[in-house]
Amino acid sequence: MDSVIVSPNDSPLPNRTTPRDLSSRKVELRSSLRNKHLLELPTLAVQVSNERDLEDVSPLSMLAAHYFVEQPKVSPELPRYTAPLSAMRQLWEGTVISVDSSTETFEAALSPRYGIEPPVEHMAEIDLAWVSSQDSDLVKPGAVFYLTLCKVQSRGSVRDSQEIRFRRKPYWTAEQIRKLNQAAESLHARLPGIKRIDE
Amino acid sequence: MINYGSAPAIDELEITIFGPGFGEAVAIHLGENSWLLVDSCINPENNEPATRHYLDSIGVADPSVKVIVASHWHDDHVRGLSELANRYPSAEFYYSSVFNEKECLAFLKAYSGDDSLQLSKGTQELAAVLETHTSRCFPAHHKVVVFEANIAGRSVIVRAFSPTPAAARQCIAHFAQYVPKAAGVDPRNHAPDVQPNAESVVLHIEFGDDAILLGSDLEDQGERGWQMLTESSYCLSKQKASAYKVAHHGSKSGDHTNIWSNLLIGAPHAVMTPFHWGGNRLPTDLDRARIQGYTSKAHISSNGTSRPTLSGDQLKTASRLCNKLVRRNPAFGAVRLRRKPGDIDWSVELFGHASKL
Repeated sequence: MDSVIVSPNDSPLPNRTTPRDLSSRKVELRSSLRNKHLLELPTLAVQVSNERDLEDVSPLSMLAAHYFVEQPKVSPELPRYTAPLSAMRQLWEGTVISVDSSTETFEAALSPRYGIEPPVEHMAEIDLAWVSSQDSDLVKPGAVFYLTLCKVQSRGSVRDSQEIRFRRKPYWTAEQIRKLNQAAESLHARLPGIKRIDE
Repeated sequence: MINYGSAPAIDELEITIFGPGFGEAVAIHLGENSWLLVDSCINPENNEPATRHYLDSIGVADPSVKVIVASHWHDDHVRGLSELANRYPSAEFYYSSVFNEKECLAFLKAYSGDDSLQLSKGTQELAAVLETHTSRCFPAHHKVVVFEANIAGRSVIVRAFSPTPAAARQCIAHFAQYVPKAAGVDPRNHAPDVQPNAESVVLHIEFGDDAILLGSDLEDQGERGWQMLTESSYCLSKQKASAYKVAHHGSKSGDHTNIWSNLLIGAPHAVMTPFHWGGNRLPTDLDRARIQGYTSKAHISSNGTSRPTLSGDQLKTASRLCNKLVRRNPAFGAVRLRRKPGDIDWSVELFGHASKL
């Protein structure tokens, strides 16, 4: 029987890996099973012999799998690419306009930062599922994020990669608040008043 | 690139309204080469402030700009405003009087990039002008005279109709609640979307026996908005306008039947800019129908397609994450009205993607 071997690793787990990553990894693993790919890794932890077994794979193993399960070197089903190791295709800076919990999407204004010429601003609807659980509390109107779209080469095959990372903003400090109010008072004192009223 | 032709004749009045889809700017020739600029937006064709590019292209010298007005602080009305203030150093700069209060200045400072993360153009642009050009910045509110002169044999007077005292009080309280107060509690965040636009400066420009009304983004909120202005004896005593920059992008919330009956002549010229921001699209079809019911002489600065400008490959890549991808500023255009003494009506010229409503 074809099998997929999922291995944990002693290395620290990537702190940005999320349940969503795990979910997408499961999809990839299912695809590997269907395509009868055999993946072998040095450290055996979990052996998956059919799709049902995937449901039982522990989150820890799946986290490891996210980083350490590799694609087959040769695949008759997949086309061959000659792209560089990792190539950024587009980078956008986005601002959340609104969040629609009923459709699980958010609307965003997107400013191109790389890969789009001319750099024309666009707007789009994006599924909340693309946001990592670590960033989900940041998805609010006005929040700023970076959307990266890449091609990644791994052992001869090239796959699409994409990521949304939200900007986490620091809190005001007491000193900043004091300076802020001081600056406002100073400007207020310097600004001229009403020039002329029509009576 | 749009060819705007030549400057107006010395005694010719002009109002030109620019809008790309997200943004609005107005240039007004008061006569004898004196210009008033209201708000600012960027022309996406050259990334320049639309009015500065316009004045350069028709050959207007810098000292001819007498007054610049920031009607309110929202992003779609201020982009390039600080560039205008820098470029025209002899112009007086008017802004909504609510920002002449400490609480509101603290709001501007909090979200303008000194200590925050430069996340809002509106606060950033307005704060930059007030800080850099302090001595020529003057607050405007109900009954403030912004400009007055005798030009080409006509008395020209520019008055602010708003904000009213009630609107100003509401705005100051509203802005004050967003000023950070506690360390470690309030994040240094993007400027909140403070609604409604009660601080907006509505301008009435009287030229002898004719007038223009610029509705800014004022909405109808009883004594804080159009209801109060259209019943105010002060506003009612002024010349009815034959040309109207429709308030708040033609939205229902920016409209009131009294505007059309009390402040405008019958069937005036009505010009508006669209507002495309996420799912918000103004004017809506209902808004268009309502305005067409008031006048057949209605125009819009931009009526173009919002299809993405990306190549097929770029679009395919972006569509991996982005659904319903559209251009933020679909198409830039301008509507120009000109009128010489003795002309029966304004002449209308359309540029770029401007069209009849």
